Amino acid sequence: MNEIVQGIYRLKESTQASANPCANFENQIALYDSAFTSKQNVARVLGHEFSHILFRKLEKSEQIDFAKTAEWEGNAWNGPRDTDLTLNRTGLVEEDSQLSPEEDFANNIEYFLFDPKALWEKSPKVSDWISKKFDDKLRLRSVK
Amino acid sequence: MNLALKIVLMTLFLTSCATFSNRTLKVISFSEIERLELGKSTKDQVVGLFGKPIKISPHSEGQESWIYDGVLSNGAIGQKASFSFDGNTLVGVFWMPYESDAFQEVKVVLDHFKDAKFERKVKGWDKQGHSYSNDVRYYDPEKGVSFTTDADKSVNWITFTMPSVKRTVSSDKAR
Repeated sequence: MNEIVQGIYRLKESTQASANPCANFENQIALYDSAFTSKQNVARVLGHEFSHILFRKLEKSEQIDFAKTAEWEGNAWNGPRDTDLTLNRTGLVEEDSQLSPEEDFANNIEYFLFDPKALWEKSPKVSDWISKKFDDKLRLRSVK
Repeated sequence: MNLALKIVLMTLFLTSCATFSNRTLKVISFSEIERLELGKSTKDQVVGLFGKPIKISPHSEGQESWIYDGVLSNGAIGQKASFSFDGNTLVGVFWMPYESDAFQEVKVVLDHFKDAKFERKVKGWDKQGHSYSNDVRYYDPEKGVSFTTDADKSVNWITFTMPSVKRTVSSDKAR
């Protein structure tokens, strides 16, 4: 991951949404002041942001494979839409997983690392996919 | 002028299939997609071309989507296409090019739809202002054609929807 993330920046506040503790833009991560309050777990926030970048680095076939497992479907209806993809899976660890397969992936990876029990209970197929996909490469490690 | 997708019913045609486990997945090519006509083609015609769907997703007010799978380059199975129906009438088509499809190239798609007037829009920040996406959407509302790219590196999917109707507001009659 350290070969992929191009920068991690400490910033004051998001101009997009002031309550956001973090954001990601291409391969860069922004941590805002609110990420360092007692309400947030910085390690977990970072894990989530890393997951966004990880998703973008997957092969397209792998992204499709994830989306299929996670029960995303592509449809076309009349009129302009923000997205042609809809999520049919009801077991979600976070509501905003519905925003996109990438956000869904990032939430699931975050929970896989920090709250695996919750992920398994909500989305066992997704938990199984992550486990098989990354095997033991996706683990938390302490840094001395 | 709306883009008309003419249906040509063939009594004999060659099909290519991929076998995965005990299922035979038909390869759905873009040229076969273009045989269908929105607003006219029916469920029977879609079955005639592609067989029965792997899944039917119902939506509101009698609408539903038929999902068709394909085999990915890594051997996994993923969605290849979907056909959206309003009652028995086809109203939308969603098709994904895989790695071997020529239509994965942006230039190929743009050349194919050379008569389209696409509006180009970068997806940008999500609704939460949390994640920025370089995905680009090309949309021609008059023809009902759109496609999305991964930062214009490759085409993610192509969709056909019923063309939007131009509304004209008649002026008030002179009093």
